[in-house]
Amino acid sequence: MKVDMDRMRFIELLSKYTKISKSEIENFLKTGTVNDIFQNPGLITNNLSKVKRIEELKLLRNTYDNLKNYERNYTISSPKAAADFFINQNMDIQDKEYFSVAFLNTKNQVLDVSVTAGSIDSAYVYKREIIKEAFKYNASSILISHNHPTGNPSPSPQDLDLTGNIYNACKTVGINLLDHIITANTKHYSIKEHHDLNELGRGSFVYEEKENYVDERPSIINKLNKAKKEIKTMKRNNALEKSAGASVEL
Amino acid sequence: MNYNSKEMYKGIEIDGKGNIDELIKIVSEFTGLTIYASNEVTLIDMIENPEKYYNDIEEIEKFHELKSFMNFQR
Repeated sequence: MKVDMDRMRFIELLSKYTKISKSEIENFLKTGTVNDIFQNPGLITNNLSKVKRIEELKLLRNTYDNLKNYERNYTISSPKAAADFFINQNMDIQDKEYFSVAFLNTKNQVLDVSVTAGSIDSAYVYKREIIKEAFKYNASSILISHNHPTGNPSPSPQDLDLTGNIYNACKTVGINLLDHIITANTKHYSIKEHHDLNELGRGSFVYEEKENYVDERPSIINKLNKAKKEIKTMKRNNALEKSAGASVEL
Repeated sequence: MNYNSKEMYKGIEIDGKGNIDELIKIVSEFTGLTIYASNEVTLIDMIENPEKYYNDIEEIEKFHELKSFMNFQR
């Protein structure tokens, strides 16, 4: 869904924002470059308000570059790091489902991330796209992730099936699927930590419904539930002690 | 992406000089959309992954166009 930015469209948008005429920009680009415009706005216009508009775009470009470059250098070396990456990436969005893929180089550095809105079922459709993108970035491995808006990150049989399916697709073209991280608010579940991906690829897995996920930030509700359980246990113990005492008296 | 993890993004100055308001104004004007973003990283994530924040295809396309604009001749 990426838009190809051709030269004329770029000039149109720059002109619209800076109020510099399209012909002025076109003339400048015959000898100068786009970077020249942002590095030395005075070369294209003497008008202070137009120079200020270029500088505004430069500020946005620099912020964009800084954050993108940092993301590119981020290394994922463990399920915990992968979970941290996707939880941080997805924390703001909890109301709908989406599917993310991180493309990594041989050093496990993130080359890029793609995000697709839609249910986990749609990820089957995007399998070809994942492989295509992985080739585009020359990625040696990928990490996939999706969220559970329900708040429980435990995988469904479909999640496990999809993992095996994508693992196989990647394997046939020499790309390594490192893990499938399921996020739910601050909780996560690493399929790699609980299953053999190769086995999932063979379709031979036994589905067990467990709540063996990791909660990154135990909530007050969790603490209250724990306290309730402890109180319940204490009451039961007290009751047992009393009944034991009564039977002795008898 | 949400870059709130200090471990992940240590060393990057985020909104240290109050740039966020100015950046939102620039992006709003460029896209013609009203934007809510609490910091630079959320704003940049909107440009990178507008599908996470918007449902309307036309609004998403505006962000894709901005992304392409910023990557043009890099």
